[in-house]
Amino acid sequence: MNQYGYVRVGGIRWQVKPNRRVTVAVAVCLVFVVGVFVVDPGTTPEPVSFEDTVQIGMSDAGMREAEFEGYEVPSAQVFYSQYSFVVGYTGLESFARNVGERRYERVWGVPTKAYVTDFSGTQPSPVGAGFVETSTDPEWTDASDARYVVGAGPVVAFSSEEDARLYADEYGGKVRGYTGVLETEFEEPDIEKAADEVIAGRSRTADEKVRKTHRLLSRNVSVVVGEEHETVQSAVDAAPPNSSVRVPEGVYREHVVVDKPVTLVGEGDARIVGYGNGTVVTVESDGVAVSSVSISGVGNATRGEPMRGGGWDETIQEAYGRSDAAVLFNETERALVHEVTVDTSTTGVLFSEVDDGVVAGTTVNGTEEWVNGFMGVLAIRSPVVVQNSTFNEGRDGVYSHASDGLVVRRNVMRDGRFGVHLMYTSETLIRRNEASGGAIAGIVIMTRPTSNYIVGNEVRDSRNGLSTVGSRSYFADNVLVNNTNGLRMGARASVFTRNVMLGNRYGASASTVLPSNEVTRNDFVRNEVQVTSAEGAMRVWGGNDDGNYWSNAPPGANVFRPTDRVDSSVTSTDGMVTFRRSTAYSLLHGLDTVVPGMRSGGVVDEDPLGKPAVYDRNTTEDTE
Amino acid sequence: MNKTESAAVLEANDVSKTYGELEVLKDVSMEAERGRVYALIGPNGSGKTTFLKILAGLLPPDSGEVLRRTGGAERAVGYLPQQPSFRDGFTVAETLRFYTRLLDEKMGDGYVSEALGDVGLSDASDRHVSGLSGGMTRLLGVAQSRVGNPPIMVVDEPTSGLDPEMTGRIFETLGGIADDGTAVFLTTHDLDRVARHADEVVLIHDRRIAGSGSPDEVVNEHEAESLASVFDSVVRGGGRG
Amino acid sequence: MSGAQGGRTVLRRELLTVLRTRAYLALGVGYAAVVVGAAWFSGGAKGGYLPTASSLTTPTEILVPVVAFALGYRVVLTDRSTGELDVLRTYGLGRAEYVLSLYAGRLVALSVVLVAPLLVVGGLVWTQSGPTITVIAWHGGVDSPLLLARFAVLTVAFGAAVLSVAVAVSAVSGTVRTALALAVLVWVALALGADLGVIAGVVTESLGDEAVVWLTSLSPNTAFRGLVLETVVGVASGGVRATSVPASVLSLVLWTVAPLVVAVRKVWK
Repeated sequence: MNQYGYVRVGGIRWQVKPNRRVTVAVAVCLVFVVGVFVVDPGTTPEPVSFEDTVQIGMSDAGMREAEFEGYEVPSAQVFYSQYSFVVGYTGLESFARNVGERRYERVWGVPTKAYVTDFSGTQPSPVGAGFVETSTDPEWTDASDARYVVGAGPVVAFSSEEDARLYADEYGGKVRGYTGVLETEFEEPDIEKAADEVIAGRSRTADEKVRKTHRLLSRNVSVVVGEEHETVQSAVDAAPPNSSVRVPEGVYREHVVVDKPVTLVGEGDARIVGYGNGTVVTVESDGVAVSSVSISGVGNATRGEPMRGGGWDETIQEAYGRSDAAVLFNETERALVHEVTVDTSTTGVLFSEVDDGVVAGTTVNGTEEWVNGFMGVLAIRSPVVVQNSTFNEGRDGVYSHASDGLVVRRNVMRDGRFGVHLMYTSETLIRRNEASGGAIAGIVIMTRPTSNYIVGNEVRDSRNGLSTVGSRSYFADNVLVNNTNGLRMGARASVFTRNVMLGNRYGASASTVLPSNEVTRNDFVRNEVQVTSAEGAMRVWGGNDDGNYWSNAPPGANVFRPTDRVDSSVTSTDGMVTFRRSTAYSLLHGLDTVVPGMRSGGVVDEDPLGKPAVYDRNTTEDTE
Repeated sequence: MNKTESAAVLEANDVSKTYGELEVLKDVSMEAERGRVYALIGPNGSGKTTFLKILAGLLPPDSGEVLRRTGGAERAVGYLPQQPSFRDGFTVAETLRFYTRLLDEKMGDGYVSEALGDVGLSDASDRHVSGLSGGMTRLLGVAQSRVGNPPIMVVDEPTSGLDPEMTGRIFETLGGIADDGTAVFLTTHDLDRVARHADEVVLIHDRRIAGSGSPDEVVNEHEAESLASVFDSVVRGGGRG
Repeated sequence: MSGAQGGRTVLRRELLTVLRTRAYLALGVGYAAVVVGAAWFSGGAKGGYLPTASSLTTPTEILVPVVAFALGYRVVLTDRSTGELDVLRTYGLGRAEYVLSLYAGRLVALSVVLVAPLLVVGGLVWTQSGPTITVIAWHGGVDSPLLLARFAVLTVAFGAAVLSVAVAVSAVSGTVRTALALAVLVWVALALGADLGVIAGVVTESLGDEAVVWLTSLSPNTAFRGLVLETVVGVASGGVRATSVPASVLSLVLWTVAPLVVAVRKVWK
């Protein structure tokens, strides 16, 4: 087209006199139109401070230990395309497992950038438990360019291939590239599928501990208190090892130290009453059982010097692990408290560094006001079994610190602060307990542990029913009734299934900012507010025909938004259904689950169940 | 008018037009000169409007041809449709300015006000077209059809529905335009006005031109008292013509 | 006389007509209210540009044809019924010149109506989205005003196609009633018919799976939806394609050009 040229449009010769302004405007528009599609909207983010990431992987206990010892935990930080926060992985195994996990991709999108800790030049050596000892702090390096050593302790990343090969040669691993490490199978069974097996395994281990300790009850009686020996202590002193000391009905005002493997067996109303200061029965030997007595007169002290100094948790041990108790087991094995009744203003039974400890059929009565009391059973680094026991009032029914493997089953906890309180404790089985009247919670998990199985418990009339954090845990078949908050879902990468939330003020709160849980087949029945959610991302539940039951969902709804004001009141507010069925509502929410990770809060159940998964009106009723 | 311009500005030769089965015009021929008003009369449905549109070049004839000798005129034919109406939301001046700019973007407001003055709409130039009376709308239409001084002007029923006073104004204006050297074609039913203002009458009936000439000639030829009686005898009389 | 001059004059008059018609102003304001409201009440604006664009996709798909039809379905028709078409022809205006100028004028107006609320929405996102929890590092995911800009461009392209259909409807219709009926028919066909047809074909297995991605380019609606999912929403996810981008772009171009050709041929003989 020359200055007075023409263009041919629609079969007609158009004389066009070029107009400079129009030409420039058209050119700018064209550049804009093409430009917005050519320019890549993504940016390359720089690594952030790891503390600022939303973390998943190693438990707090592990992280604290690493910090205390000065070890490094190989870590990754990942920027996902549809998730607004930076996800931090402690342990590259957990990183490798989760990147490309379809269930997460749906919510977080794809990783747009990942960094891993770079051990090149840090003289690393594996020291077990997922830790690496180094000479200097590792920096961050691009995960896709890094080399990974697999099979020599935890997976470790290097920016230099040379360093990776040296490390692999020295510690016996293989060097892999980025895709190689992502394709590596790191053993971690599907939580839900493996649940029955895990529960059975932990139950077996507990059964074994129970069997092992209950043998102590069949020892022959060698000494009877009151015959040759007036006090329990002198009877214990006189008894030969591996025999029983019988304590006949009566009140024994004394403190007892058991330093040999004997069994104390009460007969009738046998009461050991302490002086009101210090621990009443102190066990210093393996193979000791205390059975069928009642103990009172326990001291008031809840703090003391740690029994064994040095660890990352010294201050915790000091604060919790040195309280006065009715019975104290200190670094002993085969420890049993059986059918004992305790009245205490501090602790009932305290285990410190005990593996094979069992509390069975025991009742601990604490203080009326929990602030004045302490723990029913206090397990410090003690994976003990607590079963068939009752905890009335006091502070916590069972308090555990760093007691991986703890089993708490078939107990009743009433009117304390917490029923079960897990601190830095992973791999537990908390099963079929009944808690009620908890001032703060029925069952509470703190400090981000992993692999806890909380199954078949019932919590009523407490401020919080079941309060969870941590990861890769399993929360199933719990019944939470008439609590202020039924279920607090602070856990990540966990499974919540077949729980019943009934008549709570708030049925559940999706409180973690990292939506990574499987929430399926739970029954939300007549809670004042069925569910609340924290900011951070929209939670999309269901999606595999396995959503949850919502008593306020309209029958036949194929999507239910329990946090949405309109959807959640369709069955309770006259007229609301008309607006729920409006085109406007459909328009507003038509594509709102497309990028859930970039949205702000809210819960959407894509497969609400038409009838409750487990809730049965005849067997589970409101207490009101 | 000089001599060269007195040659036929428009020439229709054997024009025929059929709509489907209905033959509207058959081998119609006529010539027209500048400076004259041609009144096409005939009963409803006689093909007046069709013929008018063919003359204006808006409708192609099925056979025959229309020659327009308009030389280098910027606009060959001016056209005023029956019952014209204009885009809402514009003033009289804006409306006329739009048409002038179709021809020449640089044509100034001077032309617009002069043209409005010519049709007597100077006072209405800032009024919105939607507020104009039927007559004023028609006058604006006349002004429009004059834009670019086309040597041929085709005006369809310019006075239908107007009061006698306005009808008079329109005919006077059209006469004035013809005097400026334009061949003006119009259709109308107002035979009195035709008798007074038209230079030539073209009576269309039964697909052809049943009579033409100056009003007096036509009346005389039919030995009638007036155009109306000519019209009556031709149209009602059927076969007699 | 140059063609461009007549075209420019017609274009200018179309723009002025739209500007001076209160009903169009109301239409624009109403459309803006719906778009801004949808962005806000769907929760998109607090999330970012991408969630906003995805939330606006369905409302846009439904409303843009309504706006485009409202702006276009009578343009030629009105000029025809007043005799204006005949008048314009005596000014030497060509068919293409007239139709394209008319179209261009309405398109500029339509573009303003469609883009203006997205600018407001962009401002909303700019001020409202961001870290809701400040102790955690926030990067926002793959999100950028660029994505909303892409959405705006696609919206205008979609509007351009439907406006072209509307102009064709007005060019082929003899009466307002016909035009209105045709417009409604076309709107239903675009908004529902094409999708229903394809879905029915998929359900009855009379359409092969390999055909599906191409059928996304069938109607302007599916092409628009597919392009939004692919080039705006799709940047944050992997996996299958929502549409074939070249095919859908071509589809929008054809849906813009072909009705205009029809309109040009039908406006007058």
